[in-house]
Amino acid sequence: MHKTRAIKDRLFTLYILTTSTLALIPVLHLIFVIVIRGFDSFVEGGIKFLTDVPPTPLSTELGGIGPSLLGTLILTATSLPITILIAFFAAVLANEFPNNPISKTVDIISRSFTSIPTIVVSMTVYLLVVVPMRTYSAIASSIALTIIALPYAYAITSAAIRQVPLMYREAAYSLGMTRWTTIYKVVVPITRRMLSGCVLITMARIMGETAALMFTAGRFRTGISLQLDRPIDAIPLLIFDYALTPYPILHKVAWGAALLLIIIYFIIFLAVKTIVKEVKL
Amino acid sequence: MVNNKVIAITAIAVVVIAVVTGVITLQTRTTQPTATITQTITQTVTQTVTRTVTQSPQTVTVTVTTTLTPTTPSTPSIRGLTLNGAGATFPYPQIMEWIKKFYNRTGASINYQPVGSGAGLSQFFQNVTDFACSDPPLKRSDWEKYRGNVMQVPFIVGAVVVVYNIPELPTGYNLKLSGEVIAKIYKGEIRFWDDDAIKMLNSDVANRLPRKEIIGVYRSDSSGTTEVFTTYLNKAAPNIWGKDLVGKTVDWPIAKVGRGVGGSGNPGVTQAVQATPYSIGYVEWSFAITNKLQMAMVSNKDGNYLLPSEASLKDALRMINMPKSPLDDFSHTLEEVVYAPGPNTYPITSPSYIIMWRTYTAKEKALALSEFLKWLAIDGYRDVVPGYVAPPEEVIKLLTTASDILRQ
Repeated sequence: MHKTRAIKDRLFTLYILTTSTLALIPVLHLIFVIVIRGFDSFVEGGIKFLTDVPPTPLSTELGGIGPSLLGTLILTATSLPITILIAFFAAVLANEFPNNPISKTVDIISRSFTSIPTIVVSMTVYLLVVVPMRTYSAIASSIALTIIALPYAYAITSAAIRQVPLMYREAAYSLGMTRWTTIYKVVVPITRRMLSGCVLITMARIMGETAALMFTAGRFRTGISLQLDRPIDAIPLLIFDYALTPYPILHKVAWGAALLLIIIYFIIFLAVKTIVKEVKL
Repeated sequence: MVNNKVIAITAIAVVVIAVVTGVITLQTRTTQPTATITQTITQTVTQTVTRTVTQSPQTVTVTVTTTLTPTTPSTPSIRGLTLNGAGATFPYPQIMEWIKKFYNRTGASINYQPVGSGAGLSQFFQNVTDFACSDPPLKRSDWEKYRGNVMQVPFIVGAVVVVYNIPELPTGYNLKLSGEVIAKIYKGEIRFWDDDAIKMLNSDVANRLPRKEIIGVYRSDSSGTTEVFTTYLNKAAPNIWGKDLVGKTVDWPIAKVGRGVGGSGNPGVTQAVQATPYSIGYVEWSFAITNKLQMAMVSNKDGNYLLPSEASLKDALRMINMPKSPLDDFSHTLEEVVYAPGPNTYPITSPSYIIMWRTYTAKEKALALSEFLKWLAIDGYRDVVPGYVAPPEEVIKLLTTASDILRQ
């Protein structure tokens, strides 16, 4: 009897292990292929790959993805702080004051927004921002990215805030803290590692989004521009456009761009994870 | 703990510094013009000289002096100006090429959004973009609506090719297929590659054609390529391929008999044909060239079997009733260019149109666009990407006309 249980246990562990490996294989394969293919482009392009303008079908030199790289950084820098701020306060509102009708509305709206196709957001922002401005712009792209990333950021932030045991809040209240001081002196410090994770996931969402930029960004690829009311480019958009053409040189740039996106994300990920330490409960 | 922090901060700092230096190098690089005025002059002069020599040798010296004057100082600087365009995905690689060359020459940026012909036109009419590119010309109703204010010119020509994957056939041999045979294949009426109809057209390889079922690959997404291809089938074999089977999306008869495979986009169809032995498909010419797909010679209206080539695509545009001014209605050319008459015309030809306003409220937009069209007519067609062909001389003249109209 005891033995059969042990065997069953082993079998089940094995089953879980195989299924989770199966789930991971496509992801690992994807990263592996991108690293192999992208590395070639890096070697061929050298340091210029980060600064040069992208090639065209007749180009003999690989060039680089300078405009798109700068565009992705600008778009992330403009939309990430706004997204995180709004999402954090919405999550605090919905979790700390759950009986308020506004909190309930915020909660429901945010949850339903997660399932809106990103191309629809792109079209909406196109109609509301691009058409009145009469040009594609970094502003329009940032707005679209913010709308798309907000529900995600909200969902993860509220999950993080909900994790703080009620005991801690009660202790804080009993010491005479107000609700707001409780949030920023107790809840936030306890969840800071999870919150930093939220920021990272949101950032990944923003950096990797393509469809939202389709009708908003404007694909400015001839040089660099720091103006927010002018067209801009982003790495995922470049990858999308170039992958759909038949020319090998453009494919090569797309592979390199994909690897660069992963590397940038990985550096920031490691940096944040080492700086922000876990709080032991 | 402290060490970790230091490492992390240095890592971020390195990234930031790399980006900043990158930006600076790019900025310094792009501010320097790569083409000098002398280059422009010599190029235009040599071109005019060669052109005039063939026409009348006496006027050579005269033409040189006259072309020298306008090209040197009177060309206004359009450095730093931006044009926005949107439209068809088909000419995108060629436009990409032109954008870079034009920027290197003049310093004016063009941003192009490959969002599809329909979306491109609506963005143009909403005044978000300065020009549009469309595979079909403006519909007659749209042209009537903006009559006299809107200009269009077919500025680059492409082709749809029929590709196949038969391992038994020697490489370098191009199967001959008539419109009727292709229609019957996609109808499901011709089932095997060794069908008598195919054997009769290809007597040299008749014994090598395998008795294998034909798999028909088609576009699963809505596409102008499908529209051009089905228009050809309808025109070449109206009794077999009815009008109801013409359009951007088609209810493929071959799919109903279970021998059809859908592919999304040109890459999807290319991949399906490469991966499926004994399949047939249709893609843009550029995809067939770069992926080394086997292309079929298809029959034109005069009954000749042709592969696409510079001459055969240009001929197709010469055979149609081309309007004399960019302000005219081009809608009839859509139907005419497919299966056009003439002994050497490639039958599945598809030009792409550039659509723009006659006047712009922002004068610098009109100037930049005018300069772009002029540059296209003189220099642009030197850099034609594989899979595309420049329009014939008569059509290039329309670009010059449009450029002049924009200057008025």
